[in-house]
Amino acid sequence: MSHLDDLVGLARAERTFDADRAAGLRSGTLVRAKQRARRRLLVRRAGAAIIAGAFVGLILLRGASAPGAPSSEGIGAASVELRPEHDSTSSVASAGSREGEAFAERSAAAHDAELAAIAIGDGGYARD
Amino acid sequence: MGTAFDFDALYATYARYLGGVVFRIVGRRDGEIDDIVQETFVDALEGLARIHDPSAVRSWLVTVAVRRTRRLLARRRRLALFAFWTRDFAPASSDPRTREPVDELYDALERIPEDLRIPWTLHRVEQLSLPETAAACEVSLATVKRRIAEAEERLERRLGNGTKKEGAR
Repeated sequence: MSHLDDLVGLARAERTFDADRAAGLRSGTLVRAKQRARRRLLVRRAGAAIIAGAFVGLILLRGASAPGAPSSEGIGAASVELRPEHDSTSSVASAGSREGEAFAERSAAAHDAELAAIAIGDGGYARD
Repeated sequence: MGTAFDFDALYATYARYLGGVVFRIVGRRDGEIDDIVQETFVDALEGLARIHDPSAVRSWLVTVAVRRTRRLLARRRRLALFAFWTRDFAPASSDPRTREPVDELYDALERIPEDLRIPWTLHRVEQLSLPETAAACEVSLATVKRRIAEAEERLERRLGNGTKKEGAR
């Protein structure tokens, strides 16, 4: 029999955890079990609240794009309708077009005068 | 809690046994042993409903206790890194006058890795069969045999014949 076997025999015979001590731990065990059950319940409730919140958020997002709600196309149309009165770019363009017309009228009048002068010249030459 | 077993009867039957198992694996750290025993039975309250074979209860409890003990030892190993810096200032942990011969075995066990220590302790001291030890350690039978043999060899080398233990360390 080796020294190790002797020590193993001693270890087996040793009183390591007596009945009184084990009994003393019993109530503590039950308290821990309750604490753990309570903690688990809280975690479950928190999880359920998160899932419910996400679900409600999803419904609200879908509701915003429902047929009765103002759509992006309607908003676009409104902006198109408003544009001629409020868009500064278009008013600049229309002012420019008015000036262009006046210029065209002036050019046409000058051109007519030039043609008339030429006709007079030609007439003169023809007369000559 | 819906278990198929009477908790009080279960506790009365196995609490002392489990305390002994954990004591032998962990060593002499009383508060931690109590914690592991309590946590093991808390797990039992939740998990025993899934066990239908009463003969499997003991090995199931030992498996849970071993798993929890492993976690404790891992935590202790991490803390030992910090304890290294305070070693010179820490109070002496054991009084030579109160030492018992069996403390020599626990000292030697503390110096071998827990993967070897746990199966050896369960098999040699707690006298679990090899299949029970393998199940408790959650490894194969071949692995547990190899680990027990290696632990035995290391302990023999460390403890020698009992007359030159200081030199063996």
